[in-house]
Amino acid sequence: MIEIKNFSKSYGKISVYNNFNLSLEEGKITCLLGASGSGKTTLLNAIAGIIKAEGELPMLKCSYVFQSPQLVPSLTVRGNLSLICDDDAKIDVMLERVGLSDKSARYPVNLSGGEARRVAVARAFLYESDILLMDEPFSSLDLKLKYRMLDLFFEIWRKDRRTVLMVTHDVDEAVAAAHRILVLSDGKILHDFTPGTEVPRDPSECASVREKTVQLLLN
Amino acid sequence: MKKFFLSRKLNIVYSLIAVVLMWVVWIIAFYAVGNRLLVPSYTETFKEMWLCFKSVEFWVALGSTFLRTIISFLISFALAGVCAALACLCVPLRAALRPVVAFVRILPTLAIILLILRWTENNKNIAPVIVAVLVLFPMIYAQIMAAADGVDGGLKDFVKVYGIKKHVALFKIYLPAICPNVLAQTGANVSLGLKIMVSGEVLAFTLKGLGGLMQSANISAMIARLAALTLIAVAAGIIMDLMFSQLVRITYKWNKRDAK
Repeated sequence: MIEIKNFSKSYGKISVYNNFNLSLEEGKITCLLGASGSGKTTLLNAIAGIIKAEGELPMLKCSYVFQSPQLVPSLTVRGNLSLICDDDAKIDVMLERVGLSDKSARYPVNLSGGEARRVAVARAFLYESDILLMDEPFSSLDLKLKYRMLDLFFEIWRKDRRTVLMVTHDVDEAVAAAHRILVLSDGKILHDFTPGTEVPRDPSECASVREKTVQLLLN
Repeated sequence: MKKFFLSRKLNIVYSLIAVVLMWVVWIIAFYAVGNRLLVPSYTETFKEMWLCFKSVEFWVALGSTFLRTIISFLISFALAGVCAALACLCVPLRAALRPVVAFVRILPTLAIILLILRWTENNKNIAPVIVAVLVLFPMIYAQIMAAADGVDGGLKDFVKVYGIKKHVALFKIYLPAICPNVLAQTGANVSLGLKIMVSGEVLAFTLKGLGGLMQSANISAMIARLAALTLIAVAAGIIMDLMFSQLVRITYKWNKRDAK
């Protein structure tokens, strides 16, 4: 279990979290679902050590898929991956998995949005971390590309079953991807929902889980 | 019609019109003042220019001025680069450098050149270089720091989360991110360096330099020659600006080209 205890964070006089507690089951995908401004990214940034906060946060080695791919523009796809991994063979395998072997010498400016996201996901999985943090990783993609990216994500995730904490405001993304869905509002967990089926869910399962999740959100 | 006048192809025409207008202003000033010792005619000036081009002394002076400008630019660039890198890696050092850079920036050039001439035992070759460095260094430092502050915050987060080593982050991430902005200003910096160099040479009376030749022409009341040398200095500045502006192409592949 990864435990976050008494987590508090405020920006000036505005308190985002006040003694927030969360346990994450290792090897599972947990999704924090909430509206914009509900503090989802703040939590990820605190876990990753980007921002300082009060409370007991586990000292974890994190990999992070940011909202935008955050690739280094002066390095090729391979160069970006070799920043965090010295093993060329591992990089080759990962490039193969994300279908970018033929584009390893390209600079980020010459990649499409989907390709850049794939590099960001590849980089996150290549980095040997205790937890993978994902901040609305597929939010700006069109529906078709979003599901292709989710398929790709699961294809890689199945190989190492890393603990994942994903934040999103997209119910479909949460329903398709998460073992456990947490509905967050004003720094508090309003609902903690474990649908109980294995991920990725097929469309028929998604429909029923989606209905329950939307009900929870509406209530 | 508006589209036609805004066409980029016409830019060269507009530039030529501006040059012709400046020439017309010169002719009007020549006839209005009516004193060749104050405003020389353009025919006299171009004759003097031709005489300059035929003299070895002029080419030695021009080459020396160019060389001093490049040296002072390189010293300023290296110094500013090292200071900026250290300031980025160590926040207290950045604060410590702030008053030093501000002091150098506001040093009065005219006064400082006289002091430098005293300190360097009247070495007229070194004094203009030091003055150019004193002007260029704080400017280039400010440009590098502005470019460093402009580096995408997301990249800084990436460096932090993935534990990228400081030297790797500096050479592989931050410097390449800063380079396009800094290199884009190199042409303007070098041509400004030439301008300062010529001023420094005039003040120090550096004979092996364009400024020294200008001072010599001024003392001998050869105003047409002075005007010719001024025009040559302007042309040299434009050429240097154009030459060094091409440096930004080094970073072209990161922004445009497919480097397969």
